[in-house]
Amino acid sequence: MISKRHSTARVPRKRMLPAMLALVLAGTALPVAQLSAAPARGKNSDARTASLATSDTSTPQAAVVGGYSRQISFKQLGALFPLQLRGIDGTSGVAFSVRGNEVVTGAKLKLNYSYSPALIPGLSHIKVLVNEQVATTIAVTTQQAGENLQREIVIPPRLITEFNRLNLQLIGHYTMECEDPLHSSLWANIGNDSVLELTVMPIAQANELGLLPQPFFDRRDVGMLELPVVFGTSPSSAALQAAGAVSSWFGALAGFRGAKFPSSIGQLPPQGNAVVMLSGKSQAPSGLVVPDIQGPTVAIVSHPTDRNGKILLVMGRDDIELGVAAKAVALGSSTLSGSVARITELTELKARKPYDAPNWLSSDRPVKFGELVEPEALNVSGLSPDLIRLNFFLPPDLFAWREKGIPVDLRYRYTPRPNTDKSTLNININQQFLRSLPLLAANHAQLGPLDRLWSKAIPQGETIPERESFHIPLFKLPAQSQLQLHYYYDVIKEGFCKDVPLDNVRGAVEADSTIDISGFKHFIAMPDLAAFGNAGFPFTRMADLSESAVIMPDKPGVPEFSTYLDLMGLMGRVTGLPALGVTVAQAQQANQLADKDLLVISSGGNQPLLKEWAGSVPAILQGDSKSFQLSDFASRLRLRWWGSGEQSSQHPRRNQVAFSSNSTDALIAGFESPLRSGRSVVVIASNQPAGLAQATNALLDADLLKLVQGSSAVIRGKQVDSLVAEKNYYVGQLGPALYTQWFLARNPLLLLVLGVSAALLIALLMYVTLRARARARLKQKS
Amino acid sequence: MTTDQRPRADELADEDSHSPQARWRALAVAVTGWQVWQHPVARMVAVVVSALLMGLVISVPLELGEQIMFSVGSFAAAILLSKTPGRLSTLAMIVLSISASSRYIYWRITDTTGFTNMLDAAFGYGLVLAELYAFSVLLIGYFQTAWPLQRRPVPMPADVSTWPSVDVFVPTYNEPLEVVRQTVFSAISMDWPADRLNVFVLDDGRREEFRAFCEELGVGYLTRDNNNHAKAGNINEALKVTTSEYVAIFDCDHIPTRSFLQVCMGWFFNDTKLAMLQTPHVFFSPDPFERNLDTFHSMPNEGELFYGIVQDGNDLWNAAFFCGSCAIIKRAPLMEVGGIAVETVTEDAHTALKLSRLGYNTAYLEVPQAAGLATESLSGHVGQRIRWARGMAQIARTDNPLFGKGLKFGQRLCYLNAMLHFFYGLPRLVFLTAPLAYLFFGAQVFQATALMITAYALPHLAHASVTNSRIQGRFRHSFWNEVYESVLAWYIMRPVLVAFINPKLGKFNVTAKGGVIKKAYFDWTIAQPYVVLLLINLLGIAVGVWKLFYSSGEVTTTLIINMVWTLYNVILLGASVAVASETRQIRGTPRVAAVLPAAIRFDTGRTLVCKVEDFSQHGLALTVPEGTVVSTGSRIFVSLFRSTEEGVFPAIVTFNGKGRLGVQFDNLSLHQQAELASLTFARADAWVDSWGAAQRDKPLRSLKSVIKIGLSGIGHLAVTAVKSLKPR
Repeated sequence: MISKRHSTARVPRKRMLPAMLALVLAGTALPVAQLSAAPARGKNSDARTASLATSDTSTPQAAVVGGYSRQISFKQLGALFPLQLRGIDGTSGVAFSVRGNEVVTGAKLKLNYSYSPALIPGLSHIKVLVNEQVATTIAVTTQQAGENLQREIVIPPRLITEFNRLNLQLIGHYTMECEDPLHSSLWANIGNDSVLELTVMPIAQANELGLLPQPFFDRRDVGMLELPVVFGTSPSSAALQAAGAVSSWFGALAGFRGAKFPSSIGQLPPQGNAVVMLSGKSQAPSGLVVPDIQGPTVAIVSHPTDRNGKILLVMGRDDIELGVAAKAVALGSSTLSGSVARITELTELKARKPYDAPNWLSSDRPVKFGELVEPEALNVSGLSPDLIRLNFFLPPDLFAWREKGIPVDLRYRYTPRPNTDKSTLNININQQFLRSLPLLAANHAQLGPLDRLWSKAIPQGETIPERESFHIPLFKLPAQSQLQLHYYYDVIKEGFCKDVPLDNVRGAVEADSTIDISGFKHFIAMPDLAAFGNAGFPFTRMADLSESAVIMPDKPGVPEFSTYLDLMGLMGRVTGLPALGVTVAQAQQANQLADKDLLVISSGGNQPLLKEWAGSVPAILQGDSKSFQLSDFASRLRLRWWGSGEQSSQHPRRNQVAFSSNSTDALIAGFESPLRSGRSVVVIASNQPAGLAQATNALLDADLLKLVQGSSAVIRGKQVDSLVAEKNYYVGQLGPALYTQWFLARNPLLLLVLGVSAALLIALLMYVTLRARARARLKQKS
Repeated sequence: MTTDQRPRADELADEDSHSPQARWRALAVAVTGWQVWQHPVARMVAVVVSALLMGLVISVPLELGEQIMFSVGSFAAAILLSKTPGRLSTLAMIVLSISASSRYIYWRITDTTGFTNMLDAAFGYGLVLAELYAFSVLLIGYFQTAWPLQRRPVPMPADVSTWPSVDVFVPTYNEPLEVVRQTVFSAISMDWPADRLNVFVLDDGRREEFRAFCEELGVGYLTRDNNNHAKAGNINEALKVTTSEYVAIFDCDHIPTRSFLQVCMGWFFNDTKLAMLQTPHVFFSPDPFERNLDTFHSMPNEGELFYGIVQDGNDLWNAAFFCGSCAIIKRAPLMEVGGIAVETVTEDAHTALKLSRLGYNTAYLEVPQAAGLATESLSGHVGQRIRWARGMAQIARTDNPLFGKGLKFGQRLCYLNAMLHFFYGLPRLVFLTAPLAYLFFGAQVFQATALMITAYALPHLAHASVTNSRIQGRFRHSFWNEVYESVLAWYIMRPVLVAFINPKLGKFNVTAKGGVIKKAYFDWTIAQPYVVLLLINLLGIAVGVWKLFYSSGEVTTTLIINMVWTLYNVILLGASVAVASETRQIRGTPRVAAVLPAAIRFDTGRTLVCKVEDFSQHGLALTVPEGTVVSTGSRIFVSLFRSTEEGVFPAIVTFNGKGRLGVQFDNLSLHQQAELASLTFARADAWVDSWGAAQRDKPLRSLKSVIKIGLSGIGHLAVTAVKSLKPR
């Protein structure tokens, strides 16, 4: 199979700004901040090499001394499986890109490969192509055939641009005579552990707001975004809300890469980019030169100690102005320009509707495929074409009870097959086979009398536009899913010396094919940490988090702030929208926030709410003592027969496991809000402040995330233990009729009681009516 | 007088006023007596609430385990109710049964019809339609039988001079005089002012001996010069030349009791809009089912359900209909609708329909006041049912009770079911072959797992079975309906469909009666369809067994369920085959069992008081004290009594021994014969005792007997087949 880079790399920015924002900018660009000499920056400082930059880009800034190299495996570039090259002309490859503030000075390819012993050395070889130009050719020798080989190839840096494609092409021949172009002995295999090593040199850039989100985030960088956030002093709730807006914006931009926001107070990181949040100029960290603040202000300055580092200043004279500035960054970055911008007016946004996150499939209309991917990604060519992939994100609370699945109306076209054969269009969902549709021949009308009749009734044109409706089963469909369409062609052998494959085979899926979740109700049994982990549910129900509140612990410190910012980044990643509506509060204010879903952060014993709600929390970590409440599964299974989940939640907790250990654990736990039914609480807790990072790490790590499920998950480093406890409350709305049906379906005994009572009631009515009728019929004349 | 179809629980409640049954009855009486039921708003609320609840109970989908739990609970409730007395419980059982069946049908249509290929869809939708038919018949059937009216006779006015004049019509075409004369004898001995009672024999056969007989007896004899419209035309012709206020019609083989007019006429005084009053048809000879399966008097026969429950239920809705005989019709309304209907071959029901459309009332009095001979052979029986079925299909086409003016909703439904009932041919054949589609072709007629189907379908069938068992009790035993339908399905399917498509096609068959089957034989011709079906079903079982060896898991369950169904079909078909093996009928004139006081006078003048055991037109069996010696062939006089009246008849002893004495009447004069009739066949209570006297239904026992008969039918078929092969 040929694998390409995961196409989630799409930046959701494009659809992010239907926002009703009128951003009036005042202030003109200040002089560009002075360049300051500083050691080169780099993420992999250990891999740093000292070499001179020989930049051929046309940036006016002088190239700076210092560079570093970066190693990326094919797997990281999206090749989930080794690349298979087949046939006389098999091609496969990966895409890679270079950050805008870097220039490549050297590139090497460490290739792990092997090839078929049947290849004739004189004719066969493997081409290494960078952007369709040959970097080198690898000869195939009989001696090394079939072995696992390793080879280092130097790629000329001039071939490399911003966005690149590295292809490997097998020119393979097994005989001098007539050959079968698809002979099974024509193969080469490129390991996806092959490594591309790029030596890059940073380029200094201007302090220009117009470039935002660069240089803080560059979509060409496929690595995780790590952006420090610096507060002047210990931030107030309002300042945290502002910082959350910024971090969630970056989280939305980073998307699949993930984003972390290590925070600090009053201290800049020694090097690299950072965001600084200031309410008042006096708060500026030492060493940082800050422009005057005369209102909400956004500015870019260079890092005082790292000439390649940039600082994004988000400032105001007080917390309110800071909030305005942060909103301006999150919503209007594309309209900012210059190095300093003062925001004078920011109209309020229209309130959002539930489930309108731009990353999610729309809940109120069918969504066209063209809205989900670029049109060119819906077209494929060749006899073994790549998959057509469609990524989509589902609200986790779609109510799947007795639904067939998500209706898909697929329209597709393809070059008609020359003869009737076994070619199909296979449809998979998340690598699971769903169904296959036959690809017909141009002359398929000759199939049989019935078909002939059919084609007479409905004449068809030369190209075959097809339409098919099917359902994607919702059962265990993860929030993030991929629909895969694969044109799979049957190659019929014409005979000796006649097999000349003609490259005219095309397949396409129409952009106006639709996928439709508008018919589904939203209703989910909670707590469901999988929904929280994958989709930030229920907080992301309102995409701007306007029905969510984060409850910080008493006397929060840097680890708690980082955790908060990371969580907001995660929310942004899920929704594709900055969390502009989130409320940050302290435990004391919790009672005023009863109508919000609460995200509670706790480390050690510093969260009073957890003590107050000890009865509801399924697990507690405090200092060295830990306790978990488990429900007795066996007894619950029996209860299902006689009653409902609703009833069993009223049963006392069956079992409590308490133990004591000094390990640093993090805990994620969900339960119904004790303040209001139907609202949820998710607790992110650790017994020590430093442990909180484990929770966010687990949520950022795709492998660990799968393990976060149920009502509570305990995280120890790379180990996640989830307790799949009872789901005891429900979030969402079903219509009264559907709810009643669903409720009764889970309570057959109640249905039975209702049924028998209805029978008696109707029998009584009938009795009275029929008796009256019979009396009238039998009335005798007196 | 009227037979009570009350369940056993009622008897228990009567016996012990402290029993749970009695307490339940007291509770039901109290609750149904609440004033709140009379309040229109309260009623409205109750209707809305119960409709909502019912909608939920029908539509809530359940998983397998939950569905089983729900069904078991619901069925247990039905069984509990069946142990309690009173109509309230019966109605509650009906509602439970309707909810179980509706649940099934709702699930069946919404969940099991997503067919993926043409074969499955063809078989599958066919079965769905058959099931929908059965479901509608079940529903309307409940509507019809929810409350049998149980009308009692109304006394006649004391002033005899106010009693109206009555013409008694005895239409005949080709029946022997032997059969007709008994009817005439009984008719003339009816207790009614002689000046207002006119008996007419309407002879479409125009036979001399009939004319002579009538003349001698002094009853009217009417003929016409054509035979147009058969019996209906015959009666219409007679209506032109007669004038009495009322017309009583008896088939020539239906012997009325002398009390007939007095018992029936009272209702006409009570209700001036009453145009027709029907009484049950009772048979004193076994029908082919009873004779060939040997169930006479132990099992209710095919007609008893209709006259015991259905007509009585129809009566509540003012939809009792005329059955061609044993009924009184008021002349004026009859003339208003143009006499007996001639458009269809079931002129009787159609006439009643026409009367109903004009706003006249009809009534049904469940008191047997006449009795007749059942059809002799199975082929005759089948022919008669074909006629009814054709006629009903014709009415459905030409004068559909659902449409047209003048009818009330209840009447429309009752008439509709009367027609719909006869469309069972095709659905029954579908049920008899449905599981074969899977066994032979692997067609998935249900898009659901076999267990799920069982969990939904079984409650539907079980509820219907226990509920109908309670309603029908003594008049139809469980599972026998299936036997009757299976026998007739093939034969009535075509005529019904043909008549439905074109009501004019097909011809009238007359049911021959009063014959003798001299030799037992197997009616291959009529059994053909069942034999073929039986063989196919047996083959299906063989294929199923063979497939079992290669199946596993879900497939095995599906196979087994389909095979159980096929096995049930085999039993039904076996029973149908058993019906076709005609047993010998020796006696030309069937005997009627009745214990009556009698006396014998010998030539010597000695008198012996004894009792009649049974009687026929020509003789008596008497119970005499043990040791009485009478020589065979000796002439004696037999006296029969009715209160103070005594009739003396000369007779010859034909049999003697063990306390029994058989005598044959010796050369009775016509008047003696008439007198004899009034003391035997025309006795007021002659038919009342045997009415509804069959055992009360027990579904499992009934199933057992059907299985036994089915197996014996298959055995008999095998033996006959071997025998018939031998001589060749």
